Amino acid sequence: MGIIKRIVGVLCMILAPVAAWLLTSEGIKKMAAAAPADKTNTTTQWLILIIIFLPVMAGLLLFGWYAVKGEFEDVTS
Amino acid sequence: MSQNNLSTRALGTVIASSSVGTLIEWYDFYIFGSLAKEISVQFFPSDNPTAAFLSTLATFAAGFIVRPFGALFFGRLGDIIGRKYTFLVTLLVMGGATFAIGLIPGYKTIGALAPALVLILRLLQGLALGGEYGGAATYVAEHAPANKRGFWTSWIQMTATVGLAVSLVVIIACRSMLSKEDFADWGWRIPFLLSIIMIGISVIIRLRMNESPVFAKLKAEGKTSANPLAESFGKKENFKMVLLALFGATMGQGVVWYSGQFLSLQFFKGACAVDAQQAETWFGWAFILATPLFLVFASLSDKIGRKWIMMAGMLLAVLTTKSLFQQLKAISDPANKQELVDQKVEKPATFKIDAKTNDTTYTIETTRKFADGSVFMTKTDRLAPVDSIGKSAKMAPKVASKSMKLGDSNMWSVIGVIFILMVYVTMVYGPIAAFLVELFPTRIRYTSMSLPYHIGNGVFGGLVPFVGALLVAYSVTPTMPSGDIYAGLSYPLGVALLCFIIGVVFLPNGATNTTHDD
Repeated sequence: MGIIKRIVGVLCMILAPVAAWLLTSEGIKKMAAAAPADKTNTTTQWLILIIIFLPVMAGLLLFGWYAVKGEFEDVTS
Repeated sequence: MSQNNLSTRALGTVIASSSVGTLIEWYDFYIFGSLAKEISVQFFPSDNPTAAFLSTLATFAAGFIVRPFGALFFGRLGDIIGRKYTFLVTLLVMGGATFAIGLIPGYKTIGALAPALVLILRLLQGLALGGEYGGAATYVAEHAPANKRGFWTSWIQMTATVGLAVSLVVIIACRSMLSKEDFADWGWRIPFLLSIIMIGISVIIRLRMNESPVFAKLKAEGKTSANPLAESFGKKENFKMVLLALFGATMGQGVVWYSGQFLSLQFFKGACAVDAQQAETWFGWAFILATPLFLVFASLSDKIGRKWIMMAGMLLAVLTTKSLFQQLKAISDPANKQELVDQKVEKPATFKIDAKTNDTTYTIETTRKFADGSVFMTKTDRLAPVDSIGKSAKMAPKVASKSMKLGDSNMWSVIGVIFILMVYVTMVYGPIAAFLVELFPTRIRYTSMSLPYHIGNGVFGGLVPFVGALLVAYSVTPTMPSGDIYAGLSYPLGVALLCFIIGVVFLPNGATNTTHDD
């Protein structure tokens, strides 16, 4: 199980920055493309999402790092 | 957690007092969403940019930011002061905010102050909800015997679904007793104002409750945490369990719950265009039939462990949700029904002149009936070529609205599909309170379990409609101008799959050795 935990850890470490980048770049695109009348609204909406989502993805990255380092070996599955 | 020797009757009182309060909190939180249209008309006129901005904040900030913040704020209090007083405060905050929303004069009366006040009260609702669940689940779990912890805490789990059902029943009852105009004008306030009675009763019950025996013992011994936030998230031994709870359980649970209970209803009313009242009634029946399964699966988790029941629910959801949604579409699709062609009715066109462009639009209302008793109504807009030469070619006939009232013979098929989706919800959601409380020690339990729960449900679950709409928009092609109506499912099912993999590999099946209280 140890090796599988490490593989899943690596997967999480790859997935977290990719998801963070996708969301942020999409948000930037949408904020830039918003019509003037809708600019404030779209910007607020995306900023909230990015602000809350980035720490969560940092958490996924850290989770992956812990898994790679074998920190979950004592948690019996 | 230490064993408690409370009688079943005493435990019943603990459950009743905790779950009634939590149910009312869910009721309060849901009525805002269910009455969004009326609230929007009263407080957030779309032609006013400030009001529209505040509306976005109310929608996004309450779920995504304030709920997790409430989990931290009240979780900390609960681990320092105690469970009883903390979730008494969350109840008062929620009830007070809900009641006050029912009293605020509309935008027409006090201008921008109205949406600003609604925003503040909605944020308070989110804050209170963030603190309530962890307190109730912890309080019940700390009273329950270890071998029945799943069963007893599942009563708290049921409250989210029952709270939604109660909110729908109250709203439907108010709508049926008032005219459409009266309900839109002032009747929508009744469900908010009613909250004060329910909160009052619940506060009286909660005041009579004792502190959790496990926490009381810890406090008497001076072993409570001085800084639960630092201990929960600053120490690697505990923080890694917070991350595991989030990515291995609550993240998948949140999206399965949201897809089964909310997205399915939204899909049935939106993409399938089924009459809203009919959809809500049939879904309500499915919810009622499936609700006892929270107890069944949670009780089963006391015998065989929590992990595999939750993981099985997630896997089944990943494998079958799309086909169940396709089934809903197939049931409601007029193309799959035998039309009674001779009963097709087209009403004479109604005309509307646009004051700015001087274009005349005519609308045709068509009613089609089917052999199974279903009735499909469409309203189609066209530009009148008489008043706008050449413009009619630019505007293809546009279906302005459509509504399918399904024949009664379809009722059990629809309820059956929703019931299956709800089975998955009960599998992932029923045992999770017991699972979370067992993952963390008493001194920081309230704080540690509340945050992953509210990020899993509020953020991952709450993002389902938003990300779903984005994915549908991405799927638009020249050959498919409306996009793929199932594309939105990729997000919840992808998240559930990731959570399933992490859960299977990492989660413990029983209580972990972190529950070292004594």
